[in-house]
Amino acid sequence: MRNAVIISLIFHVVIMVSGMVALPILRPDTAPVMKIIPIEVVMISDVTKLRAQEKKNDPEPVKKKTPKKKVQERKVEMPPPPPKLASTMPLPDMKTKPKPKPKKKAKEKEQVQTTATRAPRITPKTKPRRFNSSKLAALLDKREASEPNIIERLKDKNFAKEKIISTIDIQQQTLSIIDAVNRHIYDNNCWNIPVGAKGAEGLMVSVQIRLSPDGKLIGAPKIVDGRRMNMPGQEFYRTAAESVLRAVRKCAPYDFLPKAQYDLWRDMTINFNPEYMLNG
Amino acid sequence: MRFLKIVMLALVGLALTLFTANARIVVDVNRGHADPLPVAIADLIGSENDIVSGGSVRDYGQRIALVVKADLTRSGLFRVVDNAAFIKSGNALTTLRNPNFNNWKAIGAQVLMNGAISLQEDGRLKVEFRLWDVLGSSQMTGLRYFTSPKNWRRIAHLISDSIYKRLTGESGYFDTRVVYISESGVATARVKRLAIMDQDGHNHVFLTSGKNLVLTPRFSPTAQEITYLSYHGDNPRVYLYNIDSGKQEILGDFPGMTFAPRFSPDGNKVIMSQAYKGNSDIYVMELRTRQIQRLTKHTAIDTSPSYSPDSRYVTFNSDRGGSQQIYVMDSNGKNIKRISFGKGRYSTPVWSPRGDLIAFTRQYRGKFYIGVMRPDGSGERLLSESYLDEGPTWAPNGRVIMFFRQQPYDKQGRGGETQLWTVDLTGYNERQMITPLDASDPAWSPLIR
Repeated sequence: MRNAVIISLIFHVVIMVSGMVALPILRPDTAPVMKIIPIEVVMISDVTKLRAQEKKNDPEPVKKKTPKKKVQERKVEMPPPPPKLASTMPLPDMKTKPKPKPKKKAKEKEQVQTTATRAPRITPKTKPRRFNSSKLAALLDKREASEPNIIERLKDKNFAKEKIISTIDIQQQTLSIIDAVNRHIYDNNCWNIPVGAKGAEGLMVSVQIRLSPDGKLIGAPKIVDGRRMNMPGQEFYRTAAESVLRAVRKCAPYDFLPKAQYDLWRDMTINFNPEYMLNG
Repeated sequence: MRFLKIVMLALVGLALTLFTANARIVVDVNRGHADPLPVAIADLIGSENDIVSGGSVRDYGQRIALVVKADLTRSGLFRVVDNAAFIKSGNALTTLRNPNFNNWKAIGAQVLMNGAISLQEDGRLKVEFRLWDVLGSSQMTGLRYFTSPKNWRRIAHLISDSIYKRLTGESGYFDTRVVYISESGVATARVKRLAIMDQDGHNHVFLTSGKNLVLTPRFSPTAQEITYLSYHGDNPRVYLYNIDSGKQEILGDFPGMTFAPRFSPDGNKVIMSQAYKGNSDIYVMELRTRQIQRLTKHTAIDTSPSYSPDSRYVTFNSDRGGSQQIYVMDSNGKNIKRISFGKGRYSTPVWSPRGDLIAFTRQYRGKFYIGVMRPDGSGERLLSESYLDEGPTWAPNGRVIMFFRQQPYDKQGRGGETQLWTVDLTGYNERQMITPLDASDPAWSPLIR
């Protein structure tokens, strides 16, 4: 009888603890922490951009500087431009020129220029830079030096508050990683959306990948709903899933991710959702 | 007590697992590109020493690869990697079954087709191909065909259809034909003949002599029959034409003029307009029994009927609301609803074989457009625009539309040429079909079986 009560108690406690961990809704209120985050998000985006560019451009120093100040434009795919008139259309038998590729070189130079003005250069053989969001916050803090920044002020309080700061760090780093992966997939043209398929806008595909510390794929990427790929009548899903598999493979290695936070990005789930693109 | 410890440890383990699962980073990607997929099409490997009529087996291998390339490029969904970029390495046969994926990856190909062609003892050609996922280093599909050398074009189209289906999830449309009205002569004495060709313009044949005026040809879903309107003497009549036998017959004898015929999806009925005593309504005829049923009864002009692929609905155009607009009704003529509400006039609605869209011609401010909308009238998109675009017809997979376009006349009365064009659902990929003479009123066949 006594054992039964103890087992019951342990069961209840463990289930509640599991619930607290697994269900975000039951987590303790972290409102004061979350209030800081929106400010940080802006910086994270910038930081990720800088990091990606530094890495890409460092091995080959660019000789000429272009005076372009134009901000890199997003490539807009939809809606389609008005069709060409008959007189300007190439005939099927004519050798049609492939679509002009975006001026990659110019774009790279442009990015280098931006980098040079915004962040110090790093040589490839220097120690890998550790991503430290608190240092970053300090760097981007434009207030007077005498005024302690928010993180220092929080640090001064007590140990418990310092623990919250580490939570902020993890959240910031997670956001940085998410942002960097997203940007990497878009900038490298990795994901070709299956356009024109019936119901393509509803074909969200989730893929799980495992990465080595140097950003290479370990094993084959796994489609979360993999069974659906081989089901009859699900050819559109298979097409969408294959476009996703091609995307994650084409984009490998993900060696721009900070090695110090390997535990955070070793296992990733990437959701590819074409709805935004197809519905504008 | 020991049991208790084990239970506790197991539960703590469960909790930790839950926590770990929760910690996995989730990235949401909702931006991508709509570029054509880079595909490498290698020539089919064949012997130079085996000669059949029209060239060596190796020549046939190269010709088939060329047709496949042209098909895939024309679809707009694929970019064929230039052969000049190919990195040749190793023995041809090992490459066939075990391609060096790194070489293909290096030239930017994401999908590879390779294959072989050989001559059989009975004089037929054996054509086989494999489709490879270059990035995933795996085979996607592989097929083998046996055919007489004269059918090499069809084999090429069948290969294109297999590749298209494997990569898009949808049936292809390359092994299809197009029937259309070939036009020649001056505007006052125009000769109009029924003509048929492959969807890429090859194997062109005239079906009628041009003595009688022919209009609005439509393919039967069985692919062997065409229905069209012809003036025999002064009387316009709907005819049936069997492509294989060349046999032609009048479809019923109606008191008034019949026009705008179209087959039902099962090929057993023909739906059309009949003008009687100055009023046009929609009728449907059962081909076996020749029984006629009237579907609309209105003083307005109801015409251009087209069935939905499940045969449950019919779309047509009518001026019953004051201007020409598109309507949808049940296939028994009930529940008539107007679905087009834009400015200008809408006509020639055609239901997509996929069922999700209706193609139409829209006329607005002196321009003609080919567009699509959902069967409830929502999501209207205009895909082409010109001085005169008309007569849309769907490819059997519902992804490409063919129509005809007329050039404007200049002040000296020159111009006015008509050509066939195709446009895909994105509106990006608009291409002209090459025909020997002027062309109008195209009708796309279903896949040839």
